[in-house]
Amino acid sequence: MVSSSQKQKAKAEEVIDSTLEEPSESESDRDDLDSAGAPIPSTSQKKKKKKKSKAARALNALRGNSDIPQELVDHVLEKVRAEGAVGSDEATQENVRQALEELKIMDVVKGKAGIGGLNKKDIGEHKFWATQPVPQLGEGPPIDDGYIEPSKPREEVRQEPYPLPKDFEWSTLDINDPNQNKEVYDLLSLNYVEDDAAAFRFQYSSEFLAWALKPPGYHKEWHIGVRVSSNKKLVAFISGVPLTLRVRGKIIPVSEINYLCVHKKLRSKRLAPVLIKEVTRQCHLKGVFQAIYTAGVVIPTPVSVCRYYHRSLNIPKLVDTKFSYVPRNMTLARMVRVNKVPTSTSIPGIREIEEKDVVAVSDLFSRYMKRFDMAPLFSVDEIRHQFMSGKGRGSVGDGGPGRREGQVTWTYVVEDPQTNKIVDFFSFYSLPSTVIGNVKYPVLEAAYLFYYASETAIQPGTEEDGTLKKRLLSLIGDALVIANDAKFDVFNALTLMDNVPILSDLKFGVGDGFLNFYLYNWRTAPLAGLNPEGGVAAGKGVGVVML
Amino acid sequence: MTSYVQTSSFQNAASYLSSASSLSKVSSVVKLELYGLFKYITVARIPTTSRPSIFDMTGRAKWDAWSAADKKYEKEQDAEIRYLEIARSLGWTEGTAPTAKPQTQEEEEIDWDDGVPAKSGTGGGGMGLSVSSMAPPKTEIDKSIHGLAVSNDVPGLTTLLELSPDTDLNALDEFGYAPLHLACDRGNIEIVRLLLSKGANRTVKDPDGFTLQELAQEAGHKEIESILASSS
Repeated sequence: MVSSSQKQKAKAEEVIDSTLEEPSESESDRDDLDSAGAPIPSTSQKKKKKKKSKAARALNALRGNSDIPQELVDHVLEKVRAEGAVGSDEATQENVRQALEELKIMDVVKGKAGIGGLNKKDIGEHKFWATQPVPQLGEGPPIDDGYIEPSKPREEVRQEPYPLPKDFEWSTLDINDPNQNKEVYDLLSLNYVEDDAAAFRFQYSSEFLAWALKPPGYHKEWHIGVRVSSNKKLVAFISGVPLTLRVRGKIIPVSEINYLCVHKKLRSKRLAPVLIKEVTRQCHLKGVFQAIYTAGVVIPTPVSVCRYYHRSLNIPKLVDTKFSYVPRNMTLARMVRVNKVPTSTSIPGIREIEEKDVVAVSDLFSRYMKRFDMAPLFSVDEIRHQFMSGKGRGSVGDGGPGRREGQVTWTYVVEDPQTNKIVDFFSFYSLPSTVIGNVKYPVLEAAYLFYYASETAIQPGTEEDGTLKKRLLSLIGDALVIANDAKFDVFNALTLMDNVPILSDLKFGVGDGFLNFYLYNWRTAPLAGLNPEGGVAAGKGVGVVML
Repeated sequence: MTSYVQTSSFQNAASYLSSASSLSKVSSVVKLELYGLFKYITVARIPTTSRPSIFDMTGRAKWDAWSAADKKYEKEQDAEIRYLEIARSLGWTEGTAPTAKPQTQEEEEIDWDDGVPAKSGTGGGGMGLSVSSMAPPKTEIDKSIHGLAVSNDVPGLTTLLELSPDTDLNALDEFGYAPLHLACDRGNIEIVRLLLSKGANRTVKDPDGFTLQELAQEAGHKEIESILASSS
């Protein structure tokens, strides 16, 4: 019950006692990320080694790589000695620094500090990531933005796939084939990301996967599976899709990596690193040397971290499934009343997107997204794909109230009644979760806020005088109305884009989940997400919404 | 070692807590209290080592928690009562078997066709989005009649009513709720039964004007609705 603090204590003791020892070579390809993150069973011998190398790394950190300023260490040291506190004879540079580090760790554990929050992974174990062109933990912001490893001509890229453990083979998945799409769906719905308490697990639909994995210009070679050689069962998957990304002033073609999943029973086979290497190789073969990806866990090194917020819609179900809690000062009946969503939308001229709007939405989107340090650049075709192609089959109502059959995305535009110009749009997507072990409510219907834009943001002064906030409250407030009509149980959003100022007014509650953003083979200073960064307001560093 | 023999309830609760997922959500204050009680009960009344230095903050906090248990309790039995009380608030009930430890997957035989995911040890996230739900409110131990009604602590409430028979069953908390309002809303059936059997007022409305029936109905607690209907 106190294992984490015991561990911390043990670590502290080792740091102080142990002599310097470099991480052992034999473990150099160990990492701590085997897809959906099951702890890797390890022998006691391994554990011992790991601890030692952790201590070594901590020692290294003490010798200058840590971000605790020397002045602070000196100051504390002076104070401790002056006051002659208990144990002041132990006060040395190194253990003062260690104590300060621990304080910071405690802040993170309590959810006060930014990166990682509740999902913080042990940073000592990321051997795999030490071999990859990613910023290493503690290396500090770069002087200039740019690649870590130069691009290679195609002929210099490794031509043959990475070797897999015996009895497994690579397989390119054709998402257009309903059978193969179903295989990916089955793998993910039973083995993909769960929360810490194993209460909810993402349930991406087949339609969602078809939408997310086949944007314009996608490469089927980037949809990579691993099968059991004997019976061809699909047991692991990783994917990339092409995206043009602007990171601060630089525009780079990247691969958006997602859906890394290893069958639960294979988590000990160390397939995740080889999947990552193989998808990287496939990207290199197409001339793409950078990538963007997200994870709930902290690995080297997040470029930003955002926090989830949740707007409760179907209170009784959320409370029953333990997604939400009734606060001590309320009853469920009052929660229902307080969170009641209006029955109709508020903005005149709001309607579902149509083909004729695509060019106007594309134009508005590209102008609006300049507000954020990191954002995708979408062509007109990509805009059509992102906001039109997921609308489902048949007519609204065929897939239940407010839904078409197989509907994945909901996109609405505001057509100004006077000028007939498109002045705003918003979209959200459907990503249900399995409620693990709940018979009454097997599926939680969650809507996720996707992209949006408003002409109001582009008018000067609207941010300062509150006009923009007001407009976004109406716009996203209307998104809640539409999601509620479509019988979503909850509406989720992250602390990115312009979300931060409107979340509490719209009655979003703080979530227990964090999302870390990563760039592969690209250095840039941290981007404002959950926290402001370098004068940029919270959220406005990140203009990328992952699926 | 203490000569005190722990009750089976304590051993059961301790083994439940050693693997309870609810524990990951509680504050370190509660964890430290549990630690102090556990050491007090199982090892000795006072810490067996000297107080760790300020650089071992966790060790020091634990030592302090242990020492605090000694100051607070006369004997092990009292500490046990407190320990069990916290365990109950974290989901332990008398007779709960400890949840199974995650199986070691290396030894496990691979059966490709059962399609059933392994049961545990799969939390956390890999690459992709992460699953989030509402951050739970801070767990506070509240031994008032209202706190017991909310936390569904039937033994606690029984004890309270035995020890203080003149407890006001209809007292309103700082938010204006009577214990029955809270129990009907949270779906704590046994608390509802207990309060009704002791003669709590069944007609009082909550600050929003809801009756007990309405609270149970809104929250979808059908069994409580029928208890209220049949016993009125």
